[in-house]
Amino acid sequence: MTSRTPFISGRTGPGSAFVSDRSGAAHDRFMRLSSLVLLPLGVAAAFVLASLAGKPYAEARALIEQPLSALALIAFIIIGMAHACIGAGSIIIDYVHDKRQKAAAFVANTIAAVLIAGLWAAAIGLIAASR
Amino acid sequence: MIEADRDGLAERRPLSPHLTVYRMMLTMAMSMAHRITGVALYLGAALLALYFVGLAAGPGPFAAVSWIAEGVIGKIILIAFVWALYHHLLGGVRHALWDRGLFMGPVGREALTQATLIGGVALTALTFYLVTLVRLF
Repeated sequence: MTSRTPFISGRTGPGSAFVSDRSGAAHDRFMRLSSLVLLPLGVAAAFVLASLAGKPYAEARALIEQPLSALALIAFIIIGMAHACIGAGSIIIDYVHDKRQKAAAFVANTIAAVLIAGLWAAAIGLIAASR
Repeated sequence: MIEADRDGLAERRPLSPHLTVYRMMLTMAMSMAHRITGVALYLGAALLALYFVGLAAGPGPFAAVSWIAEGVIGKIILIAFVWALYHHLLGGVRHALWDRGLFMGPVGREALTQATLIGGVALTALTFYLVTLVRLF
């Protein structure tokens, strides 16, 4: 005899059909932790990006060459795109229901996030190194 | 990804009430705005990555991408990106406060939501004002 219902916790039995791949807790922890780090990095990035407005080539390079602004922008994009990749992933989970389309969207999302973060960080690294 | 479907159970599950049955509220609109600004930041980051690649490549390639930060279009892009960043950032702060059980009452949650809405615009204006005024960088 047991007092438990067939849907024990959503982890076992038929109830587990309602659960996805159980990676939610780790993703959730990462989103909260990264958002904490992105708070100061986001403000720093906002100031550097706002400073770029209307700057000609030499002045824009001089700004990005500064170690502090280069470091802030690189850290911002690497952590930011990891955060954005998981965020976009949960939007895909919510709105893309077809299995194949969902798998394709996940691959495209990951490639795009890695590409954006990689190009951004490499470009700024090159500019900072040329100083 | 392990698909959550056993004998079509996931298809037949009861659905919770969705958007259409609720009266639109500010907290709800801001929840949507949080997602929309998140997606906008993703796209904006792609555009800015292109700008930085041009800037790293030299004056020639830079001329092809300088529109992203120069002129009327560039200013609109940067202001929109910085606003989306602050709006999303303050949305995160709002959720962090709610996670800790703060501002959960009917007055508090509305006030907090209004504060983050106004705060995003105010911080954007302040950032561009300080940058042009003080020349921080």
